[in-house]
Amino acid sequence: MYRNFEEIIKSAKMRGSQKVCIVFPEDRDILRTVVEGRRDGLIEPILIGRRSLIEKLALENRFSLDGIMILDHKDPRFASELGIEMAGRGEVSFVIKGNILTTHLYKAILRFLKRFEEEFASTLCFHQISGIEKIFIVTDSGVNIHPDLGTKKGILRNAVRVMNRLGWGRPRVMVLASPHLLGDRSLYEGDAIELRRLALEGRLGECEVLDSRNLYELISEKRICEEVIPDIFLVPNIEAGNILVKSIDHLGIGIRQCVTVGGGIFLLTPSRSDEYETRMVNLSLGIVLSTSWRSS
Amino acid sequence: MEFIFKKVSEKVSRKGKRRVLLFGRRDEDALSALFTAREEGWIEVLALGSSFKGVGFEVVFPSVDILEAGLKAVALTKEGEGDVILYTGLLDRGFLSLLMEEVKGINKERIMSYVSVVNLHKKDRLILMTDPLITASPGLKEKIGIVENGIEVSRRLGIERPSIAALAPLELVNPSLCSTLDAAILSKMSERGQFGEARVEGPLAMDNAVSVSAARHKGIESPVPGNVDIYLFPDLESAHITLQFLVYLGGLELGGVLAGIPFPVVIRSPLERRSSWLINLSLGCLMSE
Repeated sequence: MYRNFEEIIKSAKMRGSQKVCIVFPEDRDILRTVVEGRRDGLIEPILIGRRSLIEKLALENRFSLDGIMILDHKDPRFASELGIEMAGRGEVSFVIKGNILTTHLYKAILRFLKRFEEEFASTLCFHQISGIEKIFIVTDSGVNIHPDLGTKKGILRNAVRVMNRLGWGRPRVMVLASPHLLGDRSLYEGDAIELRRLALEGRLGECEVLDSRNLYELISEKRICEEVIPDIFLVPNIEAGNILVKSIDHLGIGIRQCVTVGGGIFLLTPSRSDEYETRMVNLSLGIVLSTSWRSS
Repeated sequence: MEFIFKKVSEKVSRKGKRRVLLFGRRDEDALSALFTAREEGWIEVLALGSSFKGVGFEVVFPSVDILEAGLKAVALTKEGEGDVILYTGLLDRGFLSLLMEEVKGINKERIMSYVSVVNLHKKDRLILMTDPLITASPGLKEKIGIVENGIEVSRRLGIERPSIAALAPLELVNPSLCSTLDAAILSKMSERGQFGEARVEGPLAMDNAVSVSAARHKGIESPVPGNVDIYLFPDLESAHITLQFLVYLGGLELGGVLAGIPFPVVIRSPLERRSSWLINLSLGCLMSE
């Protein structure tokens, strides 16, 4: 279990360089991450995208691509399929999204998962709030638009499995659902009650689903402390998930690192950033997640 | 606690003393806010309901029935005997239905909504977020009402031409996501002047709304990103959830006010801390004509 992203970086450095592929690294920030990650011994990158563009960008920014494999592909759909397939076959530890619509990669993962029963793809956002020594995840902020109860079970199982492998023995889960003052009990509240029941029966893996469905039910006037904050927040829909995770970093209360998981595939979707530390946190998270998954 | 209250109370104190009609349950935090405001000289208080006997305010309607006290408070306000209603009871359907009747009675097209006021630590600036409380899954028609109410609150706060971000999970119009369709329509309505001088831009993901460079990277050329006064959330869940993280994990200061009602009604939503009564009271006074 990790209390902050620094611990994740430290852990990643001890795990040896990991082979990864980057789909459409045709962006200065992404390419810089790749080059720095390789220089620091974190990753062995394979680039999938338009070779001429990648080489031009490297030349303009004086990034050395010596010894880095480039697979020349123009079609973003095909490049996405290839990247996900490589991860699925275990040829790379994880995939990093470059300058490409995320939906191409999501679709590639969903196509890959069709081969398996009971495997769901979902996005987990890892967060650390300024001044609080705690990492928690919000899910699903990316893949499933309006998940029904069955899909929510899959989303929650993904999150619990990931947290278990990262050392959270029995993560505490809050299934978020807002009170609806004007109508009957909301569908979301109904799902929350059902998920708690399933967790109590042990059908969602090693986790505890809390009875509370809002943060303010856990605390009153004081700023919340580490022990009280749940480890996993399950959001009711993509609107709530996506706006929440982006608010956390863009409105300045904390850090966000997103990864999409499913069937043992890890896809990093780094947000644009000029900070070296943020980029390295992202790679480190991918390394720790994928190696913890394989070793368990 | 300091910033929002300071900004709002500066405006309120210029408007003269307001008469507040109090009803609901006995709530020590609310009473304390009322005493403070009275001492500062910007309100006077009349209480309705027997539970307020002996707290230090004149009780003008000693009913034991909270709803009956509420109806009386509304009647008195409509007769001009009160400026602001402050309700300290449960936010249940009974109370909200009482207010909804008043909204529909004035104009069937109007909608009641809740506007949260946040201090995002931006210099000298208050940010509005709406609607985290009333309409669970607003359709386009309701969203138009929510935008209009947001504009009304922002004008009271001195922002005459607010920039409004119609939020969605992504900045592209996606037929599978109603939130992006509604945001695009609101944006077009704004382009055609249907929100007056207010400017709505959407769909915007939160990163494009906050950061000019994130917006430009996505090819969005608009004066709204980086300059948002009102965040319009696509549904109640997204607003309610985001706000509780900002307040209870981020430690941000929050107040809120009901809008769209013909007279100001002050409540405290579960999103706000108990100490927010004073902020909400000042916002209610700001909304009174």
